[in-house]
Amino acid sequence: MKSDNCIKMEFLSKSCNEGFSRVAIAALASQLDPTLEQINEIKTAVSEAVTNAIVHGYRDSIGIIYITAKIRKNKLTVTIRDRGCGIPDIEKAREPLFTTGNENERSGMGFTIMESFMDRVRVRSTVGGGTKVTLEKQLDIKE
Amino acid sequence: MSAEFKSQNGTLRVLLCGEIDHHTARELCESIDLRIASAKPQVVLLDFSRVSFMDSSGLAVAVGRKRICDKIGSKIYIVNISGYPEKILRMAGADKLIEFREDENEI
Repeated sequence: MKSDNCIKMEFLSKSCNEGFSRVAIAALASQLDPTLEQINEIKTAVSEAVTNAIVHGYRDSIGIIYITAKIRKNKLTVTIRDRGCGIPDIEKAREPLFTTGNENERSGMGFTIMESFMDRVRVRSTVGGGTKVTLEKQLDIKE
Repeated sequence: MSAEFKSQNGTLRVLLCGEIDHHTARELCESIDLRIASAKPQVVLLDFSRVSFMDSSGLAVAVGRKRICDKIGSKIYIVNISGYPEKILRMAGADKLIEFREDENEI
């Protein structure tokens, strides 16, 4: 396929990189000619996953966040990985409104938003080893 | 991201400008909370008309300010919200907690 592509990036888990990471993925996705709404959905889902890695994965430390994004047959697949503390109970973490963060700053809706905006969200996590979130979205369907 | 404040007759308008994410939300919340604490408004209008992007941090900004307003007896409304920010807030059920209003009192 002419449009098939892949990018990889690594960056420090500093919150100022949240904007950079979602814009980079949106730029890759734009090669598939998505709608503005689809671009917003992708930016939001990536922002949620990267924020989780920063706020929960690496908590009070700074680590490296690894992102791989590929487009293949008009499908975008984004993997966001950290080597942080891991999630003890993934099912609980995915529940709406569940958060271990400050309740005036965090809403606990990150995973719910990722699931609503992407076709598929996979989470693999090892306590002490880190977390990998994979987001998939088919982009040849115009809504 | 920045917030512009306008105060008139007990109403505080908070005009949110730019992108709301986890990075920008903390400073934004602090500046809004300081202004609410000093102005003690009867009504707070969270104006989303100039928000260009937001993730769930925007939801936390709205719901967190609602909690603060409840504590001091102020009313809070979301005004001038449309498009993508509205979709996120409604999807998360924020419209059940905070009233979305047409912007009737221009201040």
